Amino acid sequence: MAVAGKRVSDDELRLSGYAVYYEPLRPAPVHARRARRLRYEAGMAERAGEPHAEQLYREAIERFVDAFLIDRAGHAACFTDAHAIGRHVAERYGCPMKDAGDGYWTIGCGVLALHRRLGVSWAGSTIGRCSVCGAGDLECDHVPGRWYDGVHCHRIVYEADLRDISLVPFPDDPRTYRTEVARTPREIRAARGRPLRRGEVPLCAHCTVGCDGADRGPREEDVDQSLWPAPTPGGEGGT
Amino acid sequence: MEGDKSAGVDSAAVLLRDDRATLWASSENLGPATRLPLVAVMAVRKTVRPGPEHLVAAELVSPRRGDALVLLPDTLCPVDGQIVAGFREGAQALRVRARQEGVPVEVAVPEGARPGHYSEHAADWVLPLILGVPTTTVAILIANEIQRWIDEGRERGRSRPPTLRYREVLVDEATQKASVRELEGPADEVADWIARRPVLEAGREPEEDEWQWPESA
Repeated sequence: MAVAGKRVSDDELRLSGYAVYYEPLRPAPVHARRARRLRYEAGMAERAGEPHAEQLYREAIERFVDAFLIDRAGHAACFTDAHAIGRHVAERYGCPMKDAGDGYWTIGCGVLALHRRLGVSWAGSTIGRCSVCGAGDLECDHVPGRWYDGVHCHRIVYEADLRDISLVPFPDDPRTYRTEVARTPREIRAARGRPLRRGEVPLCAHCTVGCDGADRGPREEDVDQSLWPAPTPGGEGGT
Repeated sequence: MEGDKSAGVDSAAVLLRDDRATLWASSENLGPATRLPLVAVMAVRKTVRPGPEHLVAAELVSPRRGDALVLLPDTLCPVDGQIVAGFREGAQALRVRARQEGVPVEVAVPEGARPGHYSEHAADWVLPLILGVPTTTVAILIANEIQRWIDEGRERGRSRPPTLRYREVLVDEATQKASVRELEGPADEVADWIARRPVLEAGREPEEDEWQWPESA
C-alpha cells in the first residue's frame, strides 16, 4: 500500500512510502542471514559475469536495511554493510533515479531509510488468522512473534478497513521508514548546476559521495532512538 | 547554574506532567544530584473519559464475571460486510498468558460480531480495554506481561524507553454509564503503578496525590 501525493509546486513536498507490507515482520537475524547469503550469491554471479548480480546486490541491500531497522543496536553492522554494497553497486552499475513523469525524480532505495526519522503508521480494523494453526483472531493459543516448533507465528491479515495513515517517529512496522521525498526539478537543477538534458537520467550518489556510512558506520543517533525528539504523550485521543 | 537548581527542578516537574520530552530535556541540563527528584516524579498522565458508544453499560455488568480478566473491544465496525469487534494487538498475548497461569479470562465479543484487531498509532503499546479494576492476581498478570514486552523490546535492541497506554472501563451501576480511566506514560512506570495499586487500595500504603484519578469527564 503506497502513500503518494499529487502534483506539487517546488516549495512543497511529495512523499511516498509503504504503510503496510505483505510480508510479515520477521526477526532481524533472519533478514541479516538472508542479506549475507544474497551478498555472497551476488559476488559469485558478478565474478561469473552473470547479469542478475546487480539485482542480487540490490536485494541484499534491502535485507540489510530491514535487519537494521528492526534491531538497530543489535544489527548496527548492517547499516555499514548496506552502505558498502550501495557504494559498490553505484560505482559498478550506477543508481539511476526513476522519472515520475512530471519532472520529479525518485530513488526507491532502502539505504535512505537508514537515515529517516519518520515512518508510516496506519489505523483501522482487520480480520486475520494465525500463521501456525489457521485459527481466527483470539481463537487459539499461539502468540504472534513467538516460535512454535521452529515455526514463526504471525498474524495473516486478509480483510482490512483502513481509517487513516500517519507519519510518526516510531511506527509499528519499522520497515515503513522507507519514506521517500521526491527530488523536485529545482533540486535536480541545483545539484547538477544546470537543467537535465533531453533523455538524461540523474544518478543517486548517496553511497558514493553523499554519505560516508560505508566507512564510519552508523552515528550514535542512527542507532539510539532515545536521542530522537520524543513524542508528547496523548498525541492521539480516542478509544 | 548551581543556584538555580531547585527552581529548575520545580519548573521541570510542573512541565513534566504534560510533556515527557521536557523531563529528558530538563534533567539533562541539571547535575546528577538534581536528576533523582525529577525521575521520582510520576511522568504518567491520567485521564477519565466517557466510555465508547459501542460498549453498552448494562451488558457489561455481569455477576458471573467475578475475578476474571475481561477484555473489551476498542471498536465495533464493519469490515467487508462483517461486524468486527476490534481488539488491541496485545489482547492475544494477555489472553494466552492468563490461560497459562490459570486466571479466568473472557474476550467480550458482542453478539453478531466476530473478533478482529484494531490498530492506531498512539503510545508504543496500547493495552486492550479491560473491564473493571483488576484484582491483585490480574493486576500482577498485566504488570508481568508489560515487563515481558519491555524485556522483549530490549532484547530486540529497542534503545528508547517505550510508552504504554493502559485503560480500564468502569460502569456506574446506578446511572448505567460507562467511563474509561486511562493511564499513559513510560511502560515501566505504568507497570509499577498497576502492580502497586491493589496494595494501595487495600489501605496498606499512605494515599498520595499521584494515585488519584482526575474528576470524571
